[in-house]
Amino acid sequence: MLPQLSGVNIRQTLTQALSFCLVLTTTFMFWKGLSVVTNSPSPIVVVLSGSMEPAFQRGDILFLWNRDVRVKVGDIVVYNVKGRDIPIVHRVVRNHASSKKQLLLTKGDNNAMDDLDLYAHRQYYLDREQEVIGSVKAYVPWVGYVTILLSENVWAKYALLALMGFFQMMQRE
Amino acid sequence: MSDLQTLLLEGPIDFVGQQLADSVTLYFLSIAGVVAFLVGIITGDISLTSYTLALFVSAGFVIVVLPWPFYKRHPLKWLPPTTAKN
Amino acid sequence: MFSTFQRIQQYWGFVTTVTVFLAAAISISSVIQEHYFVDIPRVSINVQSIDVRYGKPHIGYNYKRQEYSLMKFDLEADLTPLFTWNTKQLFVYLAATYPGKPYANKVVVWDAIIRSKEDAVLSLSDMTADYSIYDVTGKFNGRNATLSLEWNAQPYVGLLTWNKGSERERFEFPQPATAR
Repeated sequence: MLPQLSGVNIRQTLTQALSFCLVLTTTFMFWKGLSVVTNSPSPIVVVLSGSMEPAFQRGDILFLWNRDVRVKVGDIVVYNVKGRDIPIVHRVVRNHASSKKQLLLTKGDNNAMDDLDLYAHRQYYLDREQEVIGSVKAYVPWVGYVTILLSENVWAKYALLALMGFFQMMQRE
Repeated sequence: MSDLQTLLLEGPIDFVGQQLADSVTLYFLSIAGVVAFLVGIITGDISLTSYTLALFVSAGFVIVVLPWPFYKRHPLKWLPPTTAKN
Repeated sequence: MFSTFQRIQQYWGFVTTVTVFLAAAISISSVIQEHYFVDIPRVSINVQSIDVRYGKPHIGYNYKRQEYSLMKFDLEADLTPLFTWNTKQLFVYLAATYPGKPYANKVVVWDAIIRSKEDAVLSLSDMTADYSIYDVTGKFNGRNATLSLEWNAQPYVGLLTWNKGSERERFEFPQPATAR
């Protein structure tokens, strides 16, 4: 089972590495292509918090669309507060729109208060163009829970790597 | 490796059996999808759809993945060994 | 399909395909049902009282002192026809729309989450609004406004849909009770 350092086996290893790279780059292309079509930097997101329950649970997957020039009250949007990198998925509860810009106030369904405390200091509204990265149009339950497990459990990462290694060995046979 | 291990881990089946397994996968799971959909839309209860699908998927797993004897009814006939002529 | 391992791979691959198609079929069928086979529910809204005060709309350092309004309303609506087999919940909200320069404005004054057909008949009278309205400019200046009932249907899988009731109740922001 140990690889011999002959010419044939080096080529085999390189070929396998090439197929692996092909899978990675195809996935990356698909992701970036989807970003262009939806005009969102992150067209598919996994729900991480319970602030939109009972509509969304942790591990659900949301599909975003960012080509609506004006977002509506009642829409569910994903936004990044200026300067922070954590995307928040909440519902638009207020909207003030002029021809130049749109100001929004958001609130999680499961929160008692609106998001004012989450915005930057002295910021009372979100700017649709600058801070909203998409509105939720479609939803699939549970499928994303794997990514939550992977990011939150150290042993899960090792388990996955071990599993992938095991599959590789099975393939060789 | 013992016979049981060979059976379970490698589970070799003959070529006709492989075709059969492939067809079963295709037809059984497609029907599973359609039935699950109809069950849900007729009863108005989407949880019945997931249960029906889960049931079919589990049954199908047992039928397709395990190396049943009916997959091995057409073993490859190897030619008798010949000695090299020279 | 030679080895058990290969069969497992092939089998799970096709299970995934079937699941995706099933999810798409469920979503399409429920969206079609909502769009073409359901009449827009009849809604009746009445503004019982509305007053405008001056001060902080909510407790908290983030809220400025400004004009804000509180209202009481009656609401009757039968939303049972909106529930399909793929409906997980209805997020229902009462929104006030009013004009302005340069901003056109819309604010949610009340919301509720309906999780089953049995709970979908709304009959509220003399209900206090959950949220007060305050404007970007801090003043209302006696503007006119309309109140409408809207909802977002959240599916178990697939596309989210939004719609609204046909009735629009009109009201006017009164002058503030205690001007500064």
